[in-house]
Amino acid sequence: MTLLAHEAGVARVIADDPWITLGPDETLDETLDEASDVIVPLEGLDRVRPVARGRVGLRVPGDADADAVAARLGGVDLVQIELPRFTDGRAYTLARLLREKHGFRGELRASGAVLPDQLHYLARCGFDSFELADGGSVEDALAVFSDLSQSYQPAADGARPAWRRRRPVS
Amino acid sequence: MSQHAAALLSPTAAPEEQWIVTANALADGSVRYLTSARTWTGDLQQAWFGPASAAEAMLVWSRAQEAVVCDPYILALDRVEERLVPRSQRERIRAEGPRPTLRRLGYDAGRAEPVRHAV
Amino acid sequence: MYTYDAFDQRMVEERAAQFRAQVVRRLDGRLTEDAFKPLRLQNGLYMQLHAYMMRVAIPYGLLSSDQVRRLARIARDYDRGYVHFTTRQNVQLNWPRLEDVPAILDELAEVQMHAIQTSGNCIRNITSDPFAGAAADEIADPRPYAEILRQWSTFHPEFAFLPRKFKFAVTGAREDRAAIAVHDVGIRVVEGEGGAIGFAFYVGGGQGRTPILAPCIRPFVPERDLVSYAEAVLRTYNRLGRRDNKYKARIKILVKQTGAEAFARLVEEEHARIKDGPLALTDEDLEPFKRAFRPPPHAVMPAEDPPELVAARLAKDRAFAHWERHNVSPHRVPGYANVSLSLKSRDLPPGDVTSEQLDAVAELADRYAFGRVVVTHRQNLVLTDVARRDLPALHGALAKLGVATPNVGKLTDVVCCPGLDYCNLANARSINVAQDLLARFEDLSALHDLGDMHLNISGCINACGHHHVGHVGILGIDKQGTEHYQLMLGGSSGDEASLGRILGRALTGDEIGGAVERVVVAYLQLRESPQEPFLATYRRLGPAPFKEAVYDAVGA
Repeated sequence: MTLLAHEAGVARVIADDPWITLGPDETLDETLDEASDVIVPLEGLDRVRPVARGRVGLRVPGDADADAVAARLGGVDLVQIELPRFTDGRAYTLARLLREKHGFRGELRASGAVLPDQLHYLARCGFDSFELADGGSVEDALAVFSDLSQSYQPAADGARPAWRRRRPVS
Repeated sequence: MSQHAAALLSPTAAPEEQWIVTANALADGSVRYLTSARTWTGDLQQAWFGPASAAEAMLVWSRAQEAVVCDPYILALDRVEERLVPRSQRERIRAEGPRPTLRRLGYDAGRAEPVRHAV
Repeated sequence: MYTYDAFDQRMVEERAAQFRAQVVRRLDGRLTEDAFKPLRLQNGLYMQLHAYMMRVAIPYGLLSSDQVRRLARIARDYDRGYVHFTTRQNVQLNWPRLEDVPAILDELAEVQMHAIQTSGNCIRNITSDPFAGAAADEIADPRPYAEILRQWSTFHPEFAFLPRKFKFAVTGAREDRAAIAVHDVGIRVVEGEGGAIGFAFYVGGGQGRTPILAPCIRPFVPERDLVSYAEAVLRTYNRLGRRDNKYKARIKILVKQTGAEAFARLVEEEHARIKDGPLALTDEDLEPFKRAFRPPPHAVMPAEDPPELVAARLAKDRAFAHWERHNVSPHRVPGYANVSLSLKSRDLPPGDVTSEQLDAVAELADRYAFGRVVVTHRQNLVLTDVARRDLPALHGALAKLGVATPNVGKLTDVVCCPGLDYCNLANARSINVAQDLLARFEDLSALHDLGDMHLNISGCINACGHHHVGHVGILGIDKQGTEHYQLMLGGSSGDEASLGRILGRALTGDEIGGAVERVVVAYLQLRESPQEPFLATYRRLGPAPFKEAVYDAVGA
């Protein structure tokens, strides 16, 4: 698994990810320093958040309801959205709703069925980082991220509609 | 007497079931059949055939041929008088090409070759 | 017509370059077929029975003569010298090689065309009224709105992986020629109070396995809210549409299961949140789109028929008279007409055109129709804005090309998908049925004036031939390994849209042509007058007399 992030239209590899992922039954004191930054599933959130001294991230499935997730975001610095299949596009809407409807400003991370050719769309919907699925080529992911340099419609990236910035052909 | 010879001697003999492996070529999507030499041919009559279990094994090998063909699958058909005969209309059309004759063009749509673009 | 600026041009060029790189990755093994498939599909590249098929988008069916010439050249250089126009106003190449597809995309990009989102579970090409901008019954030209929706939907990052494919149709006329009731979203331009332009949104229609006529979920969406309302509909669908069953994944099922009113409330709630955001359209946003579709420079013509036309009629040229009656329709500007080119002859499968024909049509469009050609959802071409005085000369040229069969909207104007001759999804052939019917009725329809009678054939339940909305619909099915055909009657895609009903048991390939013939004979006997079209007779009498006519002969 490789973690990628993007900035100013360019993707890059994140080598030193501070986040540690916990399973549903894991707690901090068993294996980890309480100061670690941990990502927990929804059912672990109430158990971990009170004792964590580091940052807390929340892991939700791609088909989660945005309003329900938003209700649990107090004190959460990262939301990891897990794509069950790359053909399941609900995560894109979930991300946009968390950003644009609920004003979530923390990190949005995509995991699960994340393929190189999807990263551009995911980024436009508000994702900051991506756990590339096994088998996906990191080089390809970095290269294709910038295939399209412009967009027609606004999304979570604040792009202006193309019809508002038209220029005639010279 | 082999089943084979019986079929030859008696034109009314029941067709024997055989299995083949088929796919479409990666390069142009053309219909491909696996041969006994583990190459691919467009001619159904050149296809390898055998029992279902052997076809399954050939399919496993074929699935690793992604550089040449797409989405291989196995198929039961009838062998009648040494000829492989598809059972479904779909497979008949795959073997023979589309049927509509383009009268205006003066050729059969399925058989004519495209004009190749000068590269 | 809308022409690309530097921004649009860069978009299609970057797309062509992107696909070129994806093909390289597939060919060198970096991409598996499973990973490549969705990428090629989002570029309109299918694997069919014998070859790849490439679907090229024709937004709202409108082509310039240069684009027509380029399609002719592409078909000649990379394919077998013919193309196929589809019921969604697109065009398909039947035999492209994978390695040639990037070059084809480059050629298309040079004339402002592309294959973006012509397949896959995304927003597909937006269709419209073939007479848009030229129809006598138009409230407003729908194409500026279709174009702005095209731009909004192109590479929309949120809606690339919808539960299922998604089709828009937009009409600006009083008579619906865009079949808006059988689309995922059908948009009808309406006039509100004080003449303000707005849109009625029909959501959740469709054909296929579960044919449904779309309910109107909002009768008046203001012009400024066109895009934001569409986005609210799509977001609601993407969140809630079913993904557990491919056959229940279209928005029609969601709307039906939720209930149209409850679905509308969900859309309204989302729309209220976003309508004043960046998607709200200003007059300045809309103005360039409206300007792009200004009418061509028509000449001022006298109201009476020009002498050329009168002379042609006096010459008792029956071919011209039939053609003028069936293939020429009114234009909103005096002295002009809209001319339909019939792609339904016995020479080629329905909707197929050769490169030579395309080149010739492009020349005629330049000479007689301001260089514009429109593709219709009945798989014909239209030259809008033809001066009526040019009709005799144009007819002569079209007849030479074999596209002047006087049958537009008539029984032999058969709508037909490629069927099992080409298509990987088909269960039965459809082209052979169409050609059989064309042969059977070639003379009959000239002898008897059958009036409007739409015949639609699909080779499978996916209904690309729109059989549910044919006055006579034929659906190919597979019954124990042999092709059979269900015959249905009473469908209509126009105003008062309706879905056809199956008449009786499925018929064999040998029976279907004769069965349609018996339906026609029964209609001729049953109609109240020659002015009563088939659909009216059927609606008046129901299926029983037709059922009797067909199945008494072949057995129930």
